[in-house]
Amino acid sequence: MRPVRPVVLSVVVLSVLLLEPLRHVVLTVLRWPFAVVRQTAGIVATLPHLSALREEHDRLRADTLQQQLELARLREVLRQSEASGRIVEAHPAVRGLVGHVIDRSRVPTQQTVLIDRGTRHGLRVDGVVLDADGVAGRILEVHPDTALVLLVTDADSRVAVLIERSRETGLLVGRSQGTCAVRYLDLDADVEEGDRVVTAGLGDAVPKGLPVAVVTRVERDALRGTAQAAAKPSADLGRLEEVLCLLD
Amino acid sequence: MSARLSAAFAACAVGHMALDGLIASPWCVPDLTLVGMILVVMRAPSAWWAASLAAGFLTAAWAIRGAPSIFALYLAAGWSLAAMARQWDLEDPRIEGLFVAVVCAVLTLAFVTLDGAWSWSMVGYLLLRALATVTAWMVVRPLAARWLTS
Repeated sequence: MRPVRPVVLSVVVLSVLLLEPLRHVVLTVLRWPFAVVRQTAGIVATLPHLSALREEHDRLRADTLQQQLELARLREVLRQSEASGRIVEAHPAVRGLVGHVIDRSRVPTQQTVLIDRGTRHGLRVDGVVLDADGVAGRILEVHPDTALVLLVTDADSRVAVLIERSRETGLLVGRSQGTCAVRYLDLDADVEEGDRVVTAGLGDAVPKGLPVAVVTRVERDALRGTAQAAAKPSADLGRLEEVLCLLD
Repeated sequence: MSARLSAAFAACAVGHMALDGLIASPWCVPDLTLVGMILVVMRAPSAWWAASLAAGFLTAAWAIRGAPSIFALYLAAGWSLAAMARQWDLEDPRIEGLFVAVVCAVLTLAFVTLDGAWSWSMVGYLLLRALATVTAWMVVRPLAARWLTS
């Protein structure tokens, strides 16, 4: 084999990886085999748990019914409250789109997932992605049919946050190890283990008050005069399957 | 590279995808794509470039930072392995296992360095990934040997 062939092929492959239009094509083409493999593996993994899943399904249906009754009761309270002239501040309506995770980064230090929604579905860069428990990440790259989501645990992830209980502000930074840290807290910041961390709502993209993480440990550095808190993401990032992508 | 060797590599890459979907922590997922690449290079050193290109491409396709560096790392790893495979008799499976552990650890260390994610706890994660990859290699190697010689 002539030595020029590997060089030419390397350049071609590198171009495919780096040139934006070609990268779109690669991600679009690769999503199908990845999706098939992932779905099949998911089905096989689910089979032993079918009976437990059925029980859980029945229990969740019962919970849903109970919650609907509770919702009806709360609506009535709200109506009475409005009628009595009190001001009710409703959260702005959030529009979302459900997407499915179809692949995950092969590089363990780069914590990203690929979802099967893209510009065709109205997604845009920096959009927030949630799972049932909280913020999973933000959209980093968006292609016609896919989007790459930077998880909150990635080292490049930065989210302005509040400690829900004490309203202390900080910056949630990923650590690439499945955990995060709330940085830039004051030395005497009122933060404790178990505190919920929510989005601060700074900027346009991230609504305020979404759960992001839970504090697991507080480290205070008297020399630097600051504190930081280790935090576990609220979202189950290791087992993300369905996500909600917030739309404008 | 023979058709059977290509099939073995493809099976490793697909297995990597499947495990990626099943195991929650990315650090516990064995790098089966790398295992496939090493299996190929050890048996057909002249095909190092094809195996490295494919493994580098499949890994770097999802990279958000340093895709060219990651791709180049796989090429360098493939070239180095091929050079060693040409120089020495590498029949002993323990040598191949050692290569899997060392290359996986070096590549992971390079990822950590490229991403500036270094911390002492990373050493544990790095070893965990190398251990998972060597364990996967211990399972895959006899299967691949049977498939390649049948």
